[in-house]
Amino acid sequence: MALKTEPIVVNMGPQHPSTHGVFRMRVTFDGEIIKDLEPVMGYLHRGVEKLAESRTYTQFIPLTDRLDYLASMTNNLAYVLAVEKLGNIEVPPRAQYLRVIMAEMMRISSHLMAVGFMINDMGAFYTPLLYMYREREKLLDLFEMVCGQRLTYNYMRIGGLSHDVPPEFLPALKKFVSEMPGFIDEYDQLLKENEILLARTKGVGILSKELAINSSASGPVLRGSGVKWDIRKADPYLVYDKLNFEIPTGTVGDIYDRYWVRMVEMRQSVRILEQAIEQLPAGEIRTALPHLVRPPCGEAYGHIEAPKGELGFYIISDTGVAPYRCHIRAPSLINLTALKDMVVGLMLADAIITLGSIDIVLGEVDR
Amino acid sequence: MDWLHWIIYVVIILAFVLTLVMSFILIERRVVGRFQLRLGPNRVGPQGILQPVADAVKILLKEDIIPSKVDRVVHLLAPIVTFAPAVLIFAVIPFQQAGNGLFFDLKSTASMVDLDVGVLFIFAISSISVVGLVMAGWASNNKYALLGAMRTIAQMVSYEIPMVLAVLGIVLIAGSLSLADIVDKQNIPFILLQPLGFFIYFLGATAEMNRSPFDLLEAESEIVAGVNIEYSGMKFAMFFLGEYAYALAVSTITSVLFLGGAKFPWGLLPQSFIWLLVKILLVFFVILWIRSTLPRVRVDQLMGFAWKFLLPLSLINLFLVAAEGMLPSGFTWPIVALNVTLAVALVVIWANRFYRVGGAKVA
Amino acid sequence: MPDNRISLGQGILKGLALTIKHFISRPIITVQYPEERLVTSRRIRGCDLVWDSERCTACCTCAKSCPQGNIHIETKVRPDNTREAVVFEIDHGRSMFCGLCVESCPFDAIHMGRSYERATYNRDSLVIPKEKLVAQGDRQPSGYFRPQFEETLPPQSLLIYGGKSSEVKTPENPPPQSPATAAPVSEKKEPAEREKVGVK
Repeated sequence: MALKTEPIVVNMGPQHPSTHGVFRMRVTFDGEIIKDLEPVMGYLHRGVEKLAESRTYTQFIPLTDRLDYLASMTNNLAYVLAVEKLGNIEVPPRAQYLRVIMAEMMRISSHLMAVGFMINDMGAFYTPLLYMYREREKLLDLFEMVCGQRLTYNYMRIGGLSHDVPPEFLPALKKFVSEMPGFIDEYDQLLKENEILLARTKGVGILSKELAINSSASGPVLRGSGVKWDIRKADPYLVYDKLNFEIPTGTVGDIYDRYWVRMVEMRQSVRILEQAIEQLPAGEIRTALPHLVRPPCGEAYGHIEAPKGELGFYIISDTGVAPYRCHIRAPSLINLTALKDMVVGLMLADAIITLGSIDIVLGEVDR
Repeated sequence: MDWLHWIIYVVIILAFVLTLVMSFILIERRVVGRFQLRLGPNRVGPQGILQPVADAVKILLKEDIIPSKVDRVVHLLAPIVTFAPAVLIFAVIPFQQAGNGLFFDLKSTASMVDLDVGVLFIFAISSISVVGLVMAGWASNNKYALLGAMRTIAQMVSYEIPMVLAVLGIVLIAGSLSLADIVDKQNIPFILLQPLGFFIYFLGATAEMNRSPFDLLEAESEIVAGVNIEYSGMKFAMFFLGEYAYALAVSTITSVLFLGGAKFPWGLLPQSFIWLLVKILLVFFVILWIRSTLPRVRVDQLMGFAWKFLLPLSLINLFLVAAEGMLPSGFTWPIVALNVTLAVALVVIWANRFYRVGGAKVA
Repeated sequence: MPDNRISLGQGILKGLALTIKHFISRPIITVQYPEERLVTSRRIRGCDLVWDSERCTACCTCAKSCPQGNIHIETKVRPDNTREAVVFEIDHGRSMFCGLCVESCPFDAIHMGRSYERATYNRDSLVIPKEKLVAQGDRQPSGYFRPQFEETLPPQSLLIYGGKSSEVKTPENPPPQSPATAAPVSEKKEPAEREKVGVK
């Protein structure tokens, strides 16, 4: 006799511990198998794009910190690059190198959190995460030294940076750069060959190459699917064309590939940091600009390779002190759109780690 | 006289279980903290030793919430049904053997009852706790709790089998189901004679008590807290205590069956309950070590691991023990060497095979 | 490329070896906060603004530069035709400590504070009037955008040096001795250990 069964609908979130904030998934289960998944967003919507229209160009910089709060520095960078493109503002070379240094430090920090929390979603009791926090704290210390805050940096300015780095910054950063590969080796020892991690991640949450491109995914999610696309190479900004680094790509597009891409990107970021410290020129860090920046009438799209993918700011100016319109292309949101295709047919636990492997930050998804 | 004996042992067991459970909670938090390069709770009392007391006070003062749509009777009964069997297990644990001890000598074994079917009793009783968990999951009227309960049934039932088969090897060697007899027979700890059995038993027991990497029942990152989700205050504390009491029970049973109970290895020092305590803490430390290292397995992998990996190995192990039992006695050390080699070889070979036939996937 | 070797349990054993190594030999990295405190950055954008009534000309540039509009200023013209701030209020509950007001002040009259412990029991006490905004007690100006203060402040303690001070020690520039530097940074931290880890 066949038992009558019916699917159950579970609202995972917005208070679920593993939805990385206030994300909500409306999941239909057959037992533990996912039949359908509907992401529900907007719990953290603050209207940042609209707020931009009532702030001056400079006043909007601190608000960009609140988008992807695990990588504030790159948000600042993407925004000021867009404004500089709009206003044809030159940035002194020292500031460009310092921006690269900050962006790569931020990438290491953000990837540490991404991998750590993914492993945590997998059920490791905080140990890998805390080992990663150990290194992230060192980076946050350096950020604090430079700009006085540990999370919301507000460091980039239109035409340069707010401060030059203090003299004790570079020795500390050099020490970090020399130590970091050893710590990444440790994470690899802990995680890379772990059979449980392999069993959980290999062949799970596959995002095919075609779907990744079609859904406009970017960052480690896209590169995990085997597409060699990195804006640092494809459309070099700042001084990335003077630095040597490689772009890791996965093969299958499963969770393990995304994890692996992030680990290798950290190593590459360390490499970039080494070169940038070596080439760092002396000089000014900020172009002299009027207090209120008024870019000429027009529009510009500035995009960078943020830790989570392509972060773009599309700004229209009507020569006023505030943007006429500011649109933010948030990588987390766009990577998240492929979630349903990745997880349908898998199990509950797989959905959680797939979400973890996309590495969303709700501040950026909901804006 | 009998009554006096029972009353004394009830007091001893309750004191033993409750103190050790309390200290286990603290030990777990401190040890896992050390693994993670932090200190763990160190604020209440010197070195934080009063932390469990503070937790207990806090949890007792919490509001006891009963959600309106729960099945009240089952909901209230479930924590008790979970907690009680974990304590009952200790009725047959021999804390010290009859004979000369380090501190005092005993005329008979120091256990509440020395049942002839002690091993059977333990496994029979410990399976009851699953009933409590299922009751909690069903009565809570919550989808996460229901998922947790489904996982619990599957997990507990599957892991019981390889676990019991592994312990059968011990019973074959000792020739008795009584725990006191088993300890008596351990001139060398049975972990050396039965490395494979220990391996299987330990993994099975880890799954049975819902410890990482098999903690699917709770799985905070997936089903929030599983069956505990609707419980608060003292009812939650009962589950919590039950979990730790069960961890204590598993540590104790492992020490008794495989590590020689109250005996010092090779009898170098007189037997004492101190050695039992040390062994319990050692086993618990290993559990914590595993917990702080490994991620959780998925539910289908969990089942695959039980049925495709542990069960065949435990059958092979049982066969080997039976075969070795036919050898004339006196070959202890060659058998130890043989068994350790066989255990490593079998685990490696079977792991390889396990991977080739599709790993933990249940298709 | 990610490698695809068949695993027989060695990955788990490696992980176990790493955690037990940390258990035995690595120093504790947490700071026992109320007792031990790390020295904050010289440029810390701390939890209070510090206002200098002598230097302030009540030009309201800070109020205009604030993205949130948190700074409330009412001015009065003095007999000598200068201005004076009658009301100078900052709502710290709404402040996001971006530091743009400090950056914009043309007379260095407003500074970020150095403290980071400003929890209160009600929202009203987060609105700080001008009497309380002047430098007093632990409300001291930080070096954010004020290089003249930055040089006098104790160097930040960095976890990368095991929580030790970050000062670049040169013979002519000995690290300034101040109570905050001497404040304990736990002695458990061993830099030698850290160096050993990194070189691989």
